[in-house]
Parts: sequence; structure tokens; C-alpha cells
Amino acid sequence: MKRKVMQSVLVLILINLVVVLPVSAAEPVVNEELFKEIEANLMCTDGCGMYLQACDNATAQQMRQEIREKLAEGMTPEQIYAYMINIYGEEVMAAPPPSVPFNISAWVTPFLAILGGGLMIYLALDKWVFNNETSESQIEVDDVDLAEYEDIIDEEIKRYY
Amino acid sequence: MAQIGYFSLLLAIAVSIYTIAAYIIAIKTDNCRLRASANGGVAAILLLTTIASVVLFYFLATSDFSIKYVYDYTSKNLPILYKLSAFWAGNAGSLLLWAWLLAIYTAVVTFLTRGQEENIPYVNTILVLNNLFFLILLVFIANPFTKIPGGMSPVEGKGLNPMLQNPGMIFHPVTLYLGYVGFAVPYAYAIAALITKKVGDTWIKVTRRWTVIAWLFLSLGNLYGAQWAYVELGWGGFWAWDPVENASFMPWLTGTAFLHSVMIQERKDMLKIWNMALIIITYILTLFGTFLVRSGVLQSVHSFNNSGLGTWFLLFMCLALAVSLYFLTSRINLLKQARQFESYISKESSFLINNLLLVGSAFAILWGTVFPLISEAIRGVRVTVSVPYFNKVNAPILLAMIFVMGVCPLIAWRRSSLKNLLNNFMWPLLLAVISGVALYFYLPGQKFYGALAYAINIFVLLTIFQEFYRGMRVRHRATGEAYPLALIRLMVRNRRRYGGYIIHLGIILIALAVVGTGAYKQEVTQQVSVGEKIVIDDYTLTFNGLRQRLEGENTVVYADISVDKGGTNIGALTPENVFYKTWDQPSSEVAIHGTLAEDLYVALASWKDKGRTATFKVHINPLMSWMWIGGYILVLGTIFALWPGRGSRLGPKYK
Repeated sequence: MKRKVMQSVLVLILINLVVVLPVSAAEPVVNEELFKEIEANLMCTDGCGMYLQACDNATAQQMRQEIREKLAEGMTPEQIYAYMINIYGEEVMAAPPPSVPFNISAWVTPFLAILGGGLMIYLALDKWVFNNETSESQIEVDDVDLAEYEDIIDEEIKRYY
Repeated sequence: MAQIGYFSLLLAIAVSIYTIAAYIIAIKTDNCRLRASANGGVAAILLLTTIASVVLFYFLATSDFSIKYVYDYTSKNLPILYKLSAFWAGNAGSLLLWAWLLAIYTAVVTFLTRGQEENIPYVNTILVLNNLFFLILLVFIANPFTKIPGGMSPVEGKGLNPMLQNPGMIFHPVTLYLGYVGFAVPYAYAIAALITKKVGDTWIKVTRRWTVIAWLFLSLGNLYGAQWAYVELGWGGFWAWDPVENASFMPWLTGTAFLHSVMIQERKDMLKIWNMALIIITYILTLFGTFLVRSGVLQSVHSFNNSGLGTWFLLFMCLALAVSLYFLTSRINLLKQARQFESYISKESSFLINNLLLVGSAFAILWGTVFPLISEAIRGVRVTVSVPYFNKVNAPILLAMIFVMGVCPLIAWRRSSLKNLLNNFMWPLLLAVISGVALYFYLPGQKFYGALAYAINIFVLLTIFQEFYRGMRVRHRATGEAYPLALIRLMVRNRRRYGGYIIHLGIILIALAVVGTGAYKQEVTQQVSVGEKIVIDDYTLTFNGLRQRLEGENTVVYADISVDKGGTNIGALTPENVFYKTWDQPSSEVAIHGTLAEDLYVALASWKDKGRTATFKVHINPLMSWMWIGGYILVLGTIFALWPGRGSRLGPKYK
């Protein structure tokens, strides 16, 4: 029991003195909105695979400190991104930077695919509706009315016939 | 005891091979006795995988650290529920869970599905083949019953990752796997229909329940995952577009598209090829997710490190895709459609748009997920595709999809007219536009996209309510029933339709929470000393000091914060960091003051000066509770739609 208490005391001392995450003594005062915008476009670089905003490890904290320092030095977001890419590589950006021509394909391909799909649907509809235009009467079916009245008619039929 | 588990799996392989062979021979020779014997094989596989699972549960519960899996993922003083949930904390256990669930599903298909006796041998051959793959992996590559080398039995295990010690982690993997594995059943029926050349809508009718159940579990799996991330990771968000999260969202999107497009086949005998393709894609995407988790090809916070199973999953996925495409292309003539659309504007055509957007969104996520690999292969440079990309690309697509969700139910089947559109849309559209403009000016920041997103959600919400109102009024007029009774009878007698609307309602509530937190969240990270305050919106948080307590072997460091809102004290919040004896890193436990309007979310980020100064992350997440409420409504709607009986029948087929 005594040993367990001693263990607990040691753990608590350790937590208080050693394990706590380092917090910078002096954080430069910067435009918080701008800081958040930059933070939201970067990844943590220690291999954890986490988005910088979501990560709280020592590397992430150091990166935040670095962003604040660069902002305090008067760098623009673009200059900070370039600085980060220079140190950590393109991988530090949370989305492929469109400044690299190949990366544009990342951004436009999904929309081109949807446009292509839309065109296919239009062509298919054109074919299906055109083929059918003369064969059907011009009727309009109100779904709610139809479902409800069908239900009631069914019951009437069952009741009386 | 470990041998019992291992030999059960080994025997399950032998029985699976026999069952597959027996089904194939029974099909060729029309041998009823052999078919019955193969059905017995299915029961035996269930029994054997159940034995293996029970044995693993036993080892976990009794902390038998001579078993490597138990040693790797548990410790002696772990609460019993977490000891048991460690079943799916690791690679081998999660594969066993997959095999076990698939065995349960196969047995249900075999013994509880009525009127499908002639299809069972085909369906089961496909399902058992699937299970054989998992059983082979379990026996030869990732055996959960492997013993510690040298016959040792350590006195203590490595412990469960603290992040997994959360109630969300008990349900999230199980529901997700129930969804993943569930989609194997409609897939098997689809391939069986192709093999037997009976490609009408019978397979769709038989599998509708399975598809909806799998979809429900996948929805729940994703929601539990989001809730876990929200309360456990401490960053204030719930979805980080991690490759593995994407892998569970993609089949959800294609599965949703499938659930809608099958209605056109039911009503008009059209889109047969598309429906086959959709269920094949959905099934392949479930394997793709498993491949991503186990291959390590993409950086993910979810990965089972160095499992070495990725290649096997890639091979199996390619094989399943090749076989599916072979049957699809070889039967393509049978799948060609005869019927036509009556009009450009109809429910059918709006379903096509719905499918385009759902599959388009799934494609955008797939493209973003694999783009780092493409970039590396072509440019030799690895890029990251994360939150900003997925938010920007998917926001317009999913918003358009929500809009279509509002439009679709209001357009008549076959043919709609301008009058019909005006009747159905005028009021919801008008009110939504007014609300959007009002919210644009009322909410902070005057954000156009935020207000637009709210307006679209409000439009859909109003169309849903209008549908209930119109139906109730029609029934009241026709029967003379009082309005409440008319509404209840209307819903009960058209459970499929109104269950669908309830599900839409749940989705809209979830979407409102996504818009609220995405566009209007407020956050502040601030360092304060004892007695100092953090002010955010109309909340004032006073830091009263850092305290600590022991919870079993764990040391909990927590902040004592009193919270005022608009000058009135609303209680105390205690965000924590928990230090585990068996884990290097502490785990963060956030404190949330939740209301229907917003969540006040506080995480303890760090501290210094022996706790006299601490840094907190404080968020206000508007409408967050509605995400979880929407989830429950979605579950209710699904159960309502699925409930058997007269009201759950299919809609009429147009001649």
C-alpha cells in the first residue's frame, strides 16, 4: 500500500515537472484570424498524419509557434507557405497547392467527371424521352394523392366485393 | 484453449472449401441432399467462428497474457468492457470479427430467407468464398491465438491505446463492420442474378432489407466515429477526412445512390446495368477501405501498422472486381432496358441527378484519397490531400445533393408539369429564401455560403413537412378522419415512403449541424493563470486551478473552470488529461456544455508553473447536438420503413 502511494506521488511529481507539454513563454501577438487561416492549410510534420489544427503534439506546437513568429516578422500567408514548403516539402500543405500545374488536376477532375456524367444523363434522357414522346398520353400523376386514394380504394374493394 | 480457437478457424477453412464445392456440385447435378449438406456447412462455419470468437473473448476477459494479442492490446486493470472491446482493437481480432459477422449474415440468408431456395447455393458460394479469404488470412497470416514466443506469460500487458478507451470505440468498429459486411449480401445476390441470368428486379426486392440494414449500420458506424473523434481527439471537430474515414464514407455514398436508383428498376424496369454496377462498386469500396487500413500505402491515423495484409486485400479486391466485371459484361444484353422516360422533368430524372451527385461525391473523395499516390507516381512528389481539399470540393456537390433531396420527393413519377412544380415548391422556396437572407444578416460574419447552405437545408426541411401535411390533408378529406389520426394512418400505411422522409429529416438535421460547426464555429486558444478569464461570445470561463486525482492506476489532471453565460453561472467544466501507467502519451478528455443551440467545448491543451498557468482550447460549435439527434431520427426512420407488414410494400410498377 505504502509502495503504491509512493508510486502515485512520484507519478504526480513527474507529471508536474517533466511530462507536461512545453508551452512557449512568449507568444508573439498576431492577427488571430490570419493565424487560424494559415494553420488550417497545413499538416503536422512529425509523421502522425494529422491536420495541424487537429494535432497537439510537440511538433504541432512548434509549427504554430513558427507561424506566429513569421507573421510577427511581417510575412504574408503566401510567404509563410513558401517557407514551410521549403523546409518540409510540398507535403506540409493540407491540400495540393494549385500553383503547381499538375495539382490543378486534383481540383478540377471531380467536377469534370460530374459534368461528363451530367452530359451522359442529358443525352440518355434525350434519347429515352424522344423515343417515347408520341406513345404516352399527357398525364400528370400527383404522387401523394395517388398513393392515398389507391389505399382507400383498395380498402373499399375489399369491404364491398 | 488457444488450440481450440486456432483449430476452429482451421476447421472452418476445411468446411468452407467443402461447402463451396458442395454447392457447386449441387447446382450442376441438382442434388437436393448435397445442397442441404452445404447448408449444414454454413451452420458449421458459424459455429466454428463463434467458438473462435468466444475463445478470444475469454482470453481477453481473463487477461491471459501468454496470448500475444491479449498482451498487445490489454492490461490487467482495464475495465472489463474495454478488455472485451480490444477484440477489434488490433488487426487479427478485427479480421476475426469480419469473418464472424459474415458467417452470421450467411447463416441468416440460408435459414431465415423464405422463397429463395433456388438462389441460395449461388449466393452462399459467393459469401462463403468471401469468408474463406478472411479465414485463410486469420490462420496463416494474422492468427489472433499466437502465443508469446518461448511459452512466456508476462504479468502485465502493453495496454489498450487510451484513445480507444471510450464508449464510442465499443460501437464504432462493430457498427461499421456490420455495414461493410452487410453489403456483401446484396452484392452476392446481384452476382448470383448475373450468373443465373435472372436479372429482373427479384434480387433487388429480396435484398432491399439487407441493403437498408447495411446502410443503416454504415451510417451509425460513421456517426459513432464522428462522435468519438469529437469527444476524444480534443480539436473541436468530428471529421478530419482521413483516408480511412473517406473509405467508410465512399461506400455510404454509393450505397445511398443504390438505395435510390433501385426504385427506378422497381417502378420501370430501367437502370439495370447501373444498379448492378453500383452494388459492385459499393462492395469493392468496402474492401478498398479494409485495404487502406491494412496496407499502410496512405498515411492515416487509423492504420494497423505494418500488418502486411495490404497486398492480400489488393489481390482479393482485384479478383472480386475482375469476376464481377466479367459477369456484368457477359450478361449486358440481358440488362438492356426496354422502357422509356415520359418526361425530362420527373421523379425518375431527378433520381438520376441524385445518383450523379452521390457517385460524383464518392469519386471526388476517391480521387482526393489516391491523388498523393498519383502525384508520387507521375511527379515523384508526394502531396497531402486533407481537410481543405475535401471541404472545398465536396461542399458544393453535397449541397447540390441536399437540394435535390428536397426537390426529388415533390416531383411526380413519370411526368411533372410547371403547375405541379409551382404548387409543390413555391412556399418552401419562398420561405427558404427569406430565411437565408435573414440569417445572412443576423449571423456573425455575414457569410454567403453559410447562409446559402442554411437556406437550402431549410428548403428541404419545409418540403419534408409539406409532404407530411399534404398527405395528411388528402387522407383527412377522403376519409373524414381527424388530422392526427389521418397523419398516423398515412404514415403507417405508407411506411416505406414516410420512413424515407423521416430518414431525410435526420440527414437534414445532421447537415444543419455540419453547416453550423463548419461556417459559424467560434474558437479561441488562450493561456490563463489561476483566477483569469477566457471570454468567447457571451460565455465567460474562469480558471480556478488545476487539480489531480487518482482513478485506479491512472492519474487524472483536470482543470476547474466555472462558466458564466450572459452573467449567469451555468456550472463548472472540468477538461482532463489522463496519464496511463501503460501508455507514454496522456489522453485528452474534453468537457462539453451542450444545448440544442450550441456546444461549449473546452479542451485542456497544456500547463506550466505546476499548474498555475494553463492553456485551453475553447470552441462554440453551433447546432452540434442536432448531429446526434439527426442520427437517432435516421435510425428511427429506417426501422419504421423496414418494419414488416402491409405498409412496407413496394410502390406500384407502371405498365
